[in-house]
Amino acid sequence: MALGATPTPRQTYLHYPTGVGAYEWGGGIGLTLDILSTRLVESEQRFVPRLTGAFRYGFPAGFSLEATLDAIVLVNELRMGLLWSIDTGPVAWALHDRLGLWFGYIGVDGFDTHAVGLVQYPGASVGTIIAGHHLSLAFEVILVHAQRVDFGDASVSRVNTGYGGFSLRLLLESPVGPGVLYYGATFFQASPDYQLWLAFSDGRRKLQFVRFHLGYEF
Amino acid sequence: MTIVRRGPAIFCLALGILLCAAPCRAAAGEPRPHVLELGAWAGYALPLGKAVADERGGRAVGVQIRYRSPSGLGAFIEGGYAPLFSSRGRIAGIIPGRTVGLSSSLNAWLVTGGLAVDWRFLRLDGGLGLGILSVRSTLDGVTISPLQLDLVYTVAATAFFIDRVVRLGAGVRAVFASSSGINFLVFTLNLGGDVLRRR
Amino acid sequence: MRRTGWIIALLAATACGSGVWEMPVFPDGGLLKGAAVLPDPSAKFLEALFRIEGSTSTFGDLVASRARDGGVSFFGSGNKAYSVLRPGCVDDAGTLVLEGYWRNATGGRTGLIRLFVEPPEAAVALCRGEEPVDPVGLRGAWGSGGDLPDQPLHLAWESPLKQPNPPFRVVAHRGGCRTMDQCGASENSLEVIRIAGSLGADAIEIDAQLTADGVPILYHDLSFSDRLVEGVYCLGPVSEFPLAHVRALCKLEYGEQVPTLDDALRVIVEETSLVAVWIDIKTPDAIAGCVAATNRWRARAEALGRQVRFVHGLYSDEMVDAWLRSDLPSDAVCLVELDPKDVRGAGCEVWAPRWTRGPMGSKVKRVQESGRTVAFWTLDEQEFIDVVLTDARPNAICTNRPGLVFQRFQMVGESPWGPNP
Repeated sequence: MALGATPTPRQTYLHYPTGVGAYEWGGGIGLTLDILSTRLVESEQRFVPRLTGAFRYGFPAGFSLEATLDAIVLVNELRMGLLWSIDTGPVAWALHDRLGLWFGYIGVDGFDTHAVGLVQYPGASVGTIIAGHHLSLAFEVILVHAQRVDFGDASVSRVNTGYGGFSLRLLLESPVGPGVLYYGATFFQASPDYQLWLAFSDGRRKLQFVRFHLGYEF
Repeated sequence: MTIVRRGPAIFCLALGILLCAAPCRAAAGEPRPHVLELGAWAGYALPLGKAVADERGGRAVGVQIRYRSPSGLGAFIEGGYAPLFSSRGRIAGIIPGRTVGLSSSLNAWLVTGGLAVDWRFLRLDGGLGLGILSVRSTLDGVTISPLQLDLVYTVAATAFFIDRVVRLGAGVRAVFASSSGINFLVFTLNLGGDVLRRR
Repeated sequence: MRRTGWIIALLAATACGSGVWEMPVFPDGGLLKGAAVLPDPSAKFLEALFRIEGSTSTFGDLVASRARDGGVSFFGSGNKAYSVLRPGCVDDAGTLVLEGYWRNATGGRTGLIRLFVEPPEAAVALCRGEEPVDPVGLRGAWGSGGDLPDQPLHLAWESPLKQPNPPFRVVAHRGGCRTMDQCGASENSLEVIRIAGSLGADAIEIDAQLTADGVPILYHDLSFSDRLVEGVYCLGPVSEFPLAHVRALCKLEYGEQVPTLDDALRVIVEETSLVAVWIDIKTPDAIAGCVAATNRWRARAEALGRQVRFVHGLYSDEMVDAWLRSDLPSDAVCLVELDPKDVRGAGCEVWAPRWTRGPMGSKVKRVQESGRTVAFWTLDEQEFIDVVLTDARPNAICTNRPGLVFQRFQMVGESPWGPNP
């Protein structure tokens, strides 16, 4: 496998900075698993698995369009964004900005709650290829623009809530069969209430949790 | 007094270190086969953090079964044991008017699985699984043995100096118990062998 | 790539972590060293709504003050700072000074604060134990960290406090606040119970469960872990640790002992002015032990002439069933977190819905009109607190930020519909 950042011809990569060429597209499905520590949710550890689907379409001059849908009843999020990438030899770089609309519902005992919110994720990525495995490291800032929580017969809306934290994602994409297996983890240092699962929490301090990724790109 | 908790951050730090350690050179040579490998490691466990104990760490062992694909990507399942802390002494003020004996230990049992990348002589593992943290404490002749189940993350790097059908190497694995805050390193000698190879 | 990896790893490592926070103190005891104690009734005359002039970005526009247990505290709105001070008379009782700390409610910023009561005639009257003729104001300064106060601050009298009837109670969660809220003591500790009043609480909620040898202790989680305790061998199910092992192996995050329920009730009855305690019983087998303890300390409170209400919290059907099966004194007071029909079925006096069910105003009113009280849990955000205060008009709110709930009640709250005390 050659040293360098250029992807294998005709093979697209959803997460690698220069993963799609002009007018190429790629899609993928997978799972994410958020592991919320006891420090975050108290008393007992909680796992939030989500199905995820992703799509990426390349344009000339390093631009590409992305869309991702994460789904579970508890929290669902549609993210769309624009990415600009450049290949600089051993590493490839990208700047990206994604806008996420999330929505969720909790109707279990003690809850009668649903919520929506708008989150922006500007960030940058760097990637390299090691023995055919496309390694990418992505940093994103979480900017919370709006949030509305309906609880029972009342609701509370917030706008311009500001900085919600950051995330750091380490992901490997490895050719397997006709497609690409992707796997990795994201470290979050984020406000507890930047998304629904903790919209009921109060803490403004940034807390840590980990999200694991596993999926297949075709 | 400031007590800083860095469990998830240490996990990230380890990932970053692995990223740094990964050489930016491509592998060369003929295509590799599909391999099923059995292995074992033995070494010394060293707890992280400032917890106070008479003895910290001890001899740790583990066994693995793993699959290596031709691309170098693989998967593994592992079981391991590591003694972490032990203390022994006498304590006053617990039972009125008496100084009583107190001896305690904390050991970890691990069952983890995950993904691995083999490149040249270097292997990187990342996994998660079940940790069983076992306390045994005897106070004034009364012994308790509570167990705490926990989700553990593991990150390991191994360098092989014999890398054939039989593999011999040395490495370090970091284990982070997510809820109980018990984090430790294990410095290991690794022995493995290919039990099944198919092209 | 190598350099990028190091930078990212170091950033991640340094960005994480939470500290155990301690309140700053004036060096050498400040002006209160040697000051005469403010006569008992006088601190009540400092209770009011004050308008802040200057430094509103730190303290907010309007603060509500409360006098409890020998101290005076000031609470701002939202995420503004709260201040916990102690008064003392100096200069031969011609000057009334208050000194203490302020703390940003959620950001962790803190510092020292020193205020003088004005006009001087009011200070003199208060130091004599008399009601001042004119409304009082406070003027002084605040500083950051351990620095002496140097930023000017003026609190101008705005209005007297609301005196709701029936009363509205602020219930402090976990004895005062959670450990993660960094209010100066560990949750469910004797120390946090002692400061609960100064944080804005009228009452507290505490968590009780049994040790292996059947002693009710205060602890929230069913297992010991480093989330709440220090000690490498303090790990595993609480129910497997006898009290002696808990004492030998476990310390709470701020270094306190894990208290027994008896220890906690003693502090509530003998060392605070708290009017009620909600004991959230974590396991069915702890019901009898908790009720026995509250009986002992209710008798002690009566002997001291204290009015303390001991309420036993039942959070599930299983707990309600266990309560009904238990052979308990008929006057044991209980609280149910389920539905109003479950409260009636269990013969309990308090309904405690989780706030995420919404304010349920008409249902709350019906429960109150039936002679029962309603306490919502656990509300910490101003927007949600305001909605529950105005739409539900509950008898109490359980919170990790008692000062905020107190301030919000003074700003937007109304008396509960009932029951009349």
